[in-house]
Amino acid sequence: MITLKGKGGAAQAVALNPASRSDESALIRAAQSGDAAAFEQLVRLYDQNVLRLALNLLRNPDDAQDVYQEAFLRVHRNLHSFRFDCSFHTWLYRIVTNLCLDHLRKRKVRKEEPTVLSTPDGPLDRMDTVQEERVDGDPQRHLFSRQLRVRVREILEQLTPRERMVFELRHFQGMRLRAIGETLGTTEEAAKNCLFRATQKMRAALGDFL
Amino acid sequence: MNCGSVEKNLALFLYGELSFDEEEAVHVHLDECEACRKALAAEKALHATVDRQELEPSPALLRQCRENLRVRLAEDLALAGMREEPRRSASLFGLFEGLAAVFAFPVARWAVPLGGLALLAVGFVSARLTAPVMSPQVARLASEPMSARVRYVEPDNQGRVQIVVDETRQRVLSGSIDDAQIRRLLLAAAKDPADGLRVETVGILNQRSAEADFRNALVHALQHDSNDGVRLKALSGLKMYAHEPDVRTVLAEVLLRDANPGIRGQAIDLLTQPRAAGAASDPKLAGVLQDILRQANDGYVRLRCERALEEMKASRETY
Ligand SMILES: [Zn+2]
Repeated sequence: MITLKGKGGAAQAVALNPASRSDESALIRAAQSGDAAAFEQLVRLYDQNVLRLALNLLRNPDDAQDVYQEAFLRVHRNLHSFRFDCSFHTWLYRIVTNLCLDHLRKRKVRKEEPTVLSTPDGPLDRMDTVQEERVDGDPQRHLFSRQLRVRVREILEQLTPRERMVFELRHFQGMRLRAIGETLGTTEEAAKNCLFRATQKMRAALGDFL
Repeated sequence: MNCGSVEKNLALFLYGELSFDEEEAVHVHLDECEACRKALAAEKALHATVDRQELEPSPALLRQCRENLRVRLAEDLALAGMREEPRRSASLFGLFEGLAAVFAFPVARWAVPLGGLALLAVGFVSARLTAPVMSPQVARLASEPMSARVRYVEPDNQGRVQIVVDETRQRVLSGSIDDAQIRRLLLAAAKDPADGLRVETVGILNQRSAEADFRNALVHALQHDSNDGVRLKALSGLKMYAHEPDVRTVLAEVLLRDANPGIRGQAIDLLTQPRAAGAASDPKLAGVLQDILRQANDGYVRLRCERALEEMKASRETY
């Protein structure tokens, strides 16, 4: 059972109780036998989370959509070989995380345009114009200036792709480290170390803000 | 637990990733240490800050993704219908399982250190999810039907290396041209995007151009293939049938529209060859040849048209 932070809709698909797990198996079997409607239902169990993961990792709606399309096409092509020897979530996320890591690594090589642009009015975050961030009414939140958000984002972009991935999966997708290890083809211990390094770096870089 | 190890563990503590005993020890220490309580508050503030970085995909983006996926899936299904999806080969899996038993390696996909090298397959293709991790010499044996590509190499902190490999399972089929599956695959290969594959395939189809499905594929290639070599080869396979009305129609079309003068020249040869019974009195062909003369093609094709028309005793003076 995967525990999730209280993050609303994001959680539903991952936190399947045993009853819905068997529903999921039925969907998978139906989709394996070529039932297109079952496949679509299966996609909808997970696609919001997949898209959120890709969007948050890649910070670019086009890249996120690329990952979404490619991931579910691969699921569709290879579903016949899924043998229930791991959870479907793990299987799907192996595909998704590999695609995202490929993007992040390519980007590291290409040194793509930063998502934070410098303008005469101070740093402008390109994503501000594209996506809405989670809104929060708490007035205390105003203490955290735009500057801080920009800085957090810069720090996230300085993490290695694997650190970034583990952090996203743990912090935003609410996956347990053991499941993260299984998904990324590594041990729980290695995932733990990645998470540790990621939080360490963020703490070091943000120390004076907090 | 002392301050140092508590501080080290705060992140995992907040994520609930400490063991029961570790978590208990952190609690005990926090009760009596003001400094660590402050550190915990700072860690929570860090979480809160990061929380607000999370982007929520807009409903429009999600909708667009779902619509595009539906289109891509439909395309994919259409393609799969054209080329038989290679299914997992039973014998290949038998081989894997047999090897697993003989070498007693675990049928698992996790990294296994192999003399200073950890082989780690991370990827998506069906094969990977069921294929066992193999020792190098076994890997060589069993990897023959795979095409693999190293995507990424990364040293880990234990002095080993992780290699990320994309693998594609390939399967060798052999059989007679009469075999239904072989035929289906050949017909699909004749439309494959790879030029070289189409050239080879058309060569095989030519051997059996008497058979309707193959001949149709050749006609299709002659009319639509983007590659000159493929069209030329398809044309040579149709030589024997230049007297048949449907083939003649296509040849006439080639003569009018093909971009390659060599192919147009060959089309004239076929249309006017002596064994093409009735060529001399084919009014449709005369019309086509005269059209070409009017359109003033290159010298060679013009010359051939004129000669063919003369042979057909059709008068070009009427134009
Ligand atoms: Zn302390």
